[in-house]
Amino acid sequence: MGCSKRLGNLFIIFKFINMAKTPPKLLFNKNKTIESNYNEFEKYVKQLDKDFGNILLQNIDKSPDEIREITKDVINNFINKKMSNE
Amino acid sequence: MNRQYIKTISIEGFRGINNKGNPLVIPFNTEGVTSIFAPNGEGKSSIFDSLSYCLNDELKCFKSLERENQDFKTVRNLFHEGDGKIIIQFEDDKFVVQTVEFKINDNGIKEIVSPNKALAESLINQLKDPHNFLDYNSFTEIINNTPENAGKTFLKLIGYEKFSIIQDKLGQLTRNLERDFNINSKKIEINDSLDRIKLSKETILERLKNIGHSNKNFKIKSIIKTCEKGINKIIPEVSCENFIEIDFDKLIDSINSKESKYNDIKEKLVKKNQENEQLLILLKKTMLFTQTKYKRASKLFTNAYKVLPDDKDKYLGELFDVAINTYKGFEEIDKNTCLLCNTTNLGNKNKSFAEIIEIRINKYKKFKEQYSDFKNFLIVLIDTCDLITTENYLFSKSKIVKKVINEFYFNSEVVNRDYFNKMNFSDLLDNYQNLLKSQIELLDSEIATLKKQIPEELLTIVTKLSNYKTIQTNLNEIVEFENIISSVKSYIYYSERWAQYIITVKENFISSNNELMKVIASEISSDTQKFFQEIMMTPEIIPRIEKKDAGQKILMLLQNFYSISEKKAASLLSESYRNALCLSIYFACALKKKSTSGFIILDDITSSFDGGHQRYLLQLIKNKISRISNKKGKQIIMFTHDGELEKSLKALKQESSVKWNHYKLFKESNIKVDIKEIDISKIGIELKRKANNGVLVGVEVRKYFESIVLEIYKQLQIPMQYDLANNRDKRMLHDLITNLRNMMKLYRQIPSMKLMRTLPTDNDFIDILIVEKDVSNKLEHFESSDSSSYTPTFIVGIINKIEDFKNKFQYNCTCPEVNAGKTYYAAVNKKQKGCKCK
Repeated sequence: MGCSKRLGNLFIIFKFINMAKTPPKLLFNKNKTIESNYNEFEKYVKQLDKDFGNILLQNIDKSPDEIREITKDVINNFINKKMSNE
Repeated sequence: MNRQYIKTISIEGFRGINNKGNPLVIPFNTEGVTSIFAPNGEGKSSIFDSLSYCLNDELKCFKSLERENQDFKTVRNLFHEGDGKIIIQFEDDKFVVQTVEFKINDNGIKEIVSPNKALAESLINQLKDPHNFLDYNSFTEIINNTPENAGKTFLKLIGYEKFSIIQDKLGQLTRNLERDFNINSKKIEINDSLDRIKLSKETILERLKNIGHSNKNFKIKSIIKTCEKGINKIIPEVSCENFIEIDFDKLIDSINSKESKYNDIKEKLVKKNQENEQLLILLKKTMLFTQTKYKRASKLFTNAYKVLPDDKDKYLGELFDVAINTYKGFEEIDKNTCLLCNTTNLGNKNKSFAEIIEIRINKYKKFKEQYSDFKNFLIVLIDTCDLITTENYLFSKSKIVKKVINEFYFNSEVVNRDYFNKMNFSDLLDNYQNLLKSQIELLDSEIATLKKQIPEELLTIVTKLSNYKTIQTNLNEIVEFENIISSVKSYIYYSERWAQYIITVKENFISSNNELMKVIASEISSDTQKFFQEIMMTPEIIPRIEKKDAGQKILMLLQNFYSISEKKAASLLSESYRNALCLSIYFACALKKKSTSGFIILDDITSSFDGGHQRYLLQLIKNKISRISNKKGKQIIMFTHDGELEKSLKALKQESSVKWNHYKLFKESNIKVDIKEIDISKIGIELKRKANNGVLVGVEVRKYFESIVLEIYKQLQIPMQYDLANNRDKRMLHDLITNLRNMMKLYRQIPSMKLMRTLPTDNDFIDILIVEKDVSNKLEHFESSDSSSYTPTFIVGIINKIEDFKNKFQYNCTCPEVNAGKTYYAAVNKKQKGCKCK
């Protein structure tokens, strides 16, 4: 009841913190190997958002449609987990 | 990262190579170049394919064939018994050798059978790269594409294909994010839930007032406490520790059971109260369905209609699709009978209704995305339209579906953008509300009559409990809707977080990748220019590779074309120049790419070049591309069937000594293919053996003679045009010898030029010109006319004379120290290092 309202406020605060953070910069280097540059990309996407970074990297070989559906499932799992904790 | 080179390959039972029990083994030069020459049909492509199949899962022999013609049963040699076998030895920078063994079964399927299979598979995976292999067909792939594809080909060549794919995917993932995640309709869902909460709160406050409590502020905890106290006052014996869990029906039943004589009246009263309760809820729900929502539906409908094509039928299908999707949510489609109307052949004699639905769904599938917003809203509309559709319209969800199907699909009059506008929403709603109100009034009077028949005290208790029950129900609804809001807010939060995340990733990736590609393209461009010049020797034509700012376009331009600038290379250049540009790009990319494989394998890449440019290309490979003179260069394995090129290869083998292996393939039968290392000093002996055995060697003697004369030119460092050296004219030998003779005459007439003592005299030249005439004109003619004039002894004599001529340019060093006894060419004005002979 009242708890959900507080939770809503918390989301807004989290969102604000998330947006306020300066995103890390991704830089590739011509002198590095392709693998090293890809590792930089991996590091970057995880640093930007660990949860979504892992989803993106685990499914990077799949089609955009599949990635989108997987993301939706993961979002629903996040929500279910949160709701059951409450 | 250690680079891997191919040390040897052993082939048995693969394609054209049978070699049962005696595999064809080719040692490759890991520090330079290995060139393999073979006329057509001798097994050259089989070796190329064995490498390509094992290292890259590709067979060149199948490349241009339709799938149905690719018979993998021909991959294993048809005459070979048992499995085919290919063993490849790799050697890395630190000279560590690894061996990978492949088995080829009857069906042409390969399998790694090395003792340490996992390690071998890992090595092969690291080396897998289609661009380690280059053949004539690849030129088209590099240049003859649209700029977009040329960009992708370029990225493939430098190994950044994966980045290009990632960039595409990120682009697609960031398109239509709001639509994909239904964020707008989720926001509407929150507003709907808030309306429902508002309604429940109003009901609770109203009921509290009925009981005699007045709460100005809506505080759930205080309301629950008030209710618990109130119930305790009415029924002190009941424990009311948790108001939310009280079973009011049971409580009312237990009170009623004490006064059984009023049961019939009470039952009627309860029934009427329930009816009244439902009508009141419906009446309140109608308040939620506002004009705004109706207008929104109308607007969406109109918008959806605007983007539709003229073909009405397609639009009908889309609406039908909506209806079916809604329908599916309620009941399952029966394959044979329509659950709505029990018809088996609605619209078509041969197909069931369900089948028609499926056909329609498939047909209009592609329209789904375009109208999803409208569709979602329509579904919500249908879900709530029991509130507004009393005027002979719809009464239940299943009937709504039937209506939607009938009206939207079968009745084309409904499919009109004015449909919603024509619906008089206000009247419809007013009528419905009035109907509800009159029914409620009627019920109220009936309830009042019934109440008079029951004692007031009992009635008060039951009425109060009913009010508490309503409060409890509405509190539960508030909890339920707050949970929905919380869940939807979480969904929106995560969806927006994902949207923000993926957009940031995309933008950062694109900018970083663009910068990287610009730098790489610029470096590749610079190398490409150098390589192109070395192959074509045309300073008037300068190519350039350019990465555009946006997208993945990479252009192949001509920076200069005979003073014209910035033209596209593909259409302007002739085929040979285009191929030279492709090769230059390919080499530049291969050297730039940082990969595990330290080798590139080239098949017949010189076919479009004339003799001179072939030699320039080979020089480029030797001096810049291979590891012979470039530490960061590649191990080169090249195949050719060009007999003229083979002369150049032999000469380069001589120059590069231990860093160039040159082999000639010869097929003895369908049983065995073998290789022979080309050593110019042993060719004479081999030819004499062949001549003595009665083999026709006229052509080979002439080629041998050409090689000898070219070797003399090279050793004496006499400048000579490549075109002359590769002239296919039979007069080439004559021209070369005459040229040499004139050179010698010139040197003899200049006193300051000191010649080595053993150089041939002019008479020697006259003799050798006679031999040349015999070789060029008569010997080959003899082979074709079957004349018996030239015996083996005569041919051996000619070979001896050719070799004697060569020896006249040489001397044996008599220095007592380092060089004693060694044979050197008597280079003009130049002695061998350490030689003190006079």
